[in-house]
Amino acid sequence: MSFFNHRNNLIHAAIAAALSALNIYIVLSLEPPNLAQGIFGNIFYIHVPVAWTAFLLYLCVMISGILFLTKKDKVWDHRGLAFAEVGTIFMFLVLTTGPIWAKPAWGIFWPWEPRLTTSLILFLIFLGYFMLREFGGNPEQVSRYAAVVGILAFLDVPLIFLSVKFWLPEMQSHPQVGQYFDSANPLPTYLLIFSFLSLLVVSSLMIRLRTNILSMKEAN
Amino acid sequence: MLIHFILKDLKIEWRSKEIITSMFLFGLSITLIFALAFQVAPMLIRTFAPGLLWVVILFTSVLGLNRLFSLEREEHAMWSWTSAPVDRGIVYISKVISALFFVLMSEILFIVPFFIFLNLPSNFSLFQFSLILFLGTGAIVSVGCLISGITLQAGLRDVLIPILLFPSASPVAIAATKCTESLFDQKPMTEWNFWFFILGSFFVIFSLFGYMVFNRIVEE
Amino acid sequence: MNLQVTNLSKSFYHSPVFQSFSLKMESGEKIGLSGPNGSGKTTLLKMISGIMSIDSGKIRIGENDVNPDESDPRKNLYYLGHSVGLYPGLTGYENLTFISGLYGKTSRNVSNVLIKVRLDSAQDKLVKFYSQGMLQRLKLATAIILDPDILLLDEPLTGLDVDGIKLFESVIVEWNELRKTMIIVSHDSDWLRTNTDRIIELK
Repeated sequence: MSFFNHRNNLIHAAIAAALSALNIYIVLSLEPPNLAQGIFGNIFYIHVPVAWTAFLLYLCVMISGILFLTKKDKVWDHRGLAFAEVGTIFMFLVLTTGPIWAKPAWGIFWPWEPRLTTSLILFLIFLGYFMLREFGGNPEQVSRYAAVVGILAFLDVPLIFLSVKFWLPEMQSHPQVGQYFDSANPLPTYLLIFSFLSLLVVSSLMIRLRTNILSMKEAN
Repeated sequence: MLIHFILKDLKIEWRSKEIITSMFLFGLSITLIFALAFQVAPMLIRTFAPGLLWVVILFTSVLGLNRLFSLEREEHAMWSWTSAPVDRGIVYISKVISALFFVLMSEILFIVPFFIFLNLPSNFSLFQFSLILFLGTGAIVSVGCLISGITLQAGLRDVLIPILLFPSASPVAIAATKCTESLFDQKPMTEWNFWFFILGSFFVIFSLFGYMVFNRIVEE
Repeated sequence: MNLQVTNLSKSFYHSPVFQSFSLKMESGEKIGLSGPNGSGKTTLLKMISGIMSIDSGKIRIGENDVNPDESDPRKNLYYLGHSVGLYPGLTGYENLTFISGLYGKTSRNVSNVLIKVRLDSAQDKLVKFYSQGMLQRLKLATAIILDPDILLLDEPLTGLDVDGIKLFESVIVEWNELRKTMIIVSHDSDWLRTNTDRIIELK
């Protein structure tokens, strides 16, 4: 592929691969917080940074949408679509790692916990976004519609989160989070940040690749 | 100008009566299905009634919004105002007001059968109930009119409207259900004014957003 | 009022319909637009009137640029398309009143104009029951009431009988005397040659 013919992109890919491998190795080799959860307890170090990345990417969809509507530059439409696609992949990972973690931690696959529920609703809105992209009609028109839906989706986030948070007051956000943190041991915090940064490197590579493919398709 | 557009929609509906009639009959049909489905455990209806009411309102709103915007699609009638010196944001606001009126009219019609078929008590403040219906419906149609405008020229628009609307309006569903539940339980308004605030915020945020972007989504 | 189109570009499904298209019209000029189906005649008129967005380029009416955020320039322009553009659920009279209200015009003359286009007997009939010829007359009535400086006429003779064509041609003569700027789309090259100052062929 011509994208990987460029040296900088190859370096980016190599760094992404190395960081991901290191991340997975650390998570797998780390001692879990308690025996009952086994190795699944460490999925916390994947689930939380993946969620942060997904929300950040969806925020970027909103920003791209605003820029596309104001500047009318097709590049922002391509970027918006790339952010949406990669963000939805990450959101899908949130929705799968969530239950994998929830079952040993809570005893049920799906706790109606505010952040997970907000993620599910946002994921569904973006499935609608892709349906609109596919069936919305003339691509030039659909770009504008998709930009508006991307902005609408993220505008909705605080309202969704607030309403879900107070909907079931007995379901607090991640009550078991405390078991990962000990004021004397900064390692979990560093690990979360490292995991998040490595996911940013991976997601930025995916977005650059996807934007490149979309731009080349447009040029052809 | 706003009154001009609202009167136009009211005049067309006054003659045909198809929007309110179809919403009322659809709402009645769903109510019947709920009554039949809950016959196995009739005491549970009282618990689920607030949520069921807002499910009926959401489903009938989709029907009404689809029909309201189809008026503009038929014979390209919307070209009369897309080519005119008209602020298209005003057209959006007029659609929100018209939709609010039509949905509220259909609610007035099917709410009585809803209470009768599901054997629900009615010893609560009618004024507060009206306020909840007004604000909840307003919140639904504010985002619904935006989504209907986006899908106005899309293929599969009958499917796209609910797919985009239902997850986007989930805070409304939660907040309106909570308000209605508290009202049915005769709790003082101070205990549930937070949910009222969510409905009001949703209505204001999406009405403003719709006003700002509508001119960009009605162009072909 | 003059009309200027500069470097207009528009694509559908990634196929360009217009690439850097430019056009300059002086006040009172009449241009004919011809070309095969799919060449972009209707698209051009829809972009100028604001019904369709432009990918890039500029459209200027008089001293003002046309863009989605600025509706004012469109008050001097009317697009008479070959699609209906009227509400089937309203009567002819109501449609005219509605549209004239959009342009800030009084509805006092609506009845007189409907008599002029010989639709007075059908003015209280719902537009969905109008024939093609009646719809064209109603759209002509709208153009007369609005009295814009620029007229975009997209196959205006479609569906008109012999009387209708004569009526329309007499109105064009009146518009000519009032020095209105016009773009007329037609497949009838002979008619365009007789009734316009120059013809632009779109390919």
